[in-house]
Amino acid sequence: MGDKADVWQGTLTLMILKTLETLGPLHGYGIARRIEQISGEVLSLNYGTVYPALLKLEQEGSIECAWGVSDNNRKAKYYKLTRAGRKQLGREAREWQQAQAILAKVLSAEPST
Amino acid sequence: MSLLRSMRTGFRRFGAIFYKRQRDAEFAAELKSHLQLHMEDNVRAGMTPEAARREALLKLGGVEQTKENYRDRRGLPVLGDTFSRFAIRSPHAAQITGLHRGHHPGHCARDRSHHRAIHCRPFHTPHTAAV
Repeated sequence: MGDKADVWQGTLTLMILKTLETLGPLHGYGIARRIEQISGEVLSLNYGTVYPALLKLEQEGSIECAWGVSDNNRKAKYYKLTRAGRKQLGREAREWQQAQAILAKVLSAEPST
Repeated sequence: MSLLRSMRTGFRRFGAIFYKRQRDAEFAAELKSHLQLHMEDNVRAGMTPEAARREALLKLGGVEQTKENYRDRRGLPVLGDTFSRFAIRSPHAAQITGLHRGHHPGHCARDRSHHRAIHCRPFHTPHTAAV
């Protein structure tokens, strides 16, 4: 295994939703960069995987998109969170925290003597 | 996933079958913009334009691969392929087309003129007198 960690299955959409909640409307490249930066450059993200994940969220109605202009005056497609997406983020974050707590308990169990 | 969300996703994926070319073009534009933004960042970080482009493409995981993955997610690949195959290969569809050709006056006229052009007109001989 390399120094950088891969994105865990099913967590990319959660990270995208959280990024959009934190930063507001953002283009695909900005979302991918932000996820890498926030992980302290530990996460190895293939930027191409962000787009099918964005499409999935759009199809589910969690985000919506529109063409806009970036800070560098470049045309870019901006994604923003919908109300349904905000609810989904809350629900998935809770589920993830529960799973994490369960796993932590299991892993911290003392070996029987 | 809730039922409503699954239904919405299903409808959107089904709908995407009908605007394939338009959506392909839109995603190509989005990828182009992505690469430009990434290249600009790389150049600002001190890379040469060529190295910036190479790194951006590498990090994306390949343009064609990304497009392929996106297409798979956008529509219903199995259904889309089945529709295309049916339209092209179905013997029933071919039969209908054959019948249509047989009865269409325009096609008959075109077929007749094609026949005349090939079988009834004399060969073009450039120097008839010499022959």
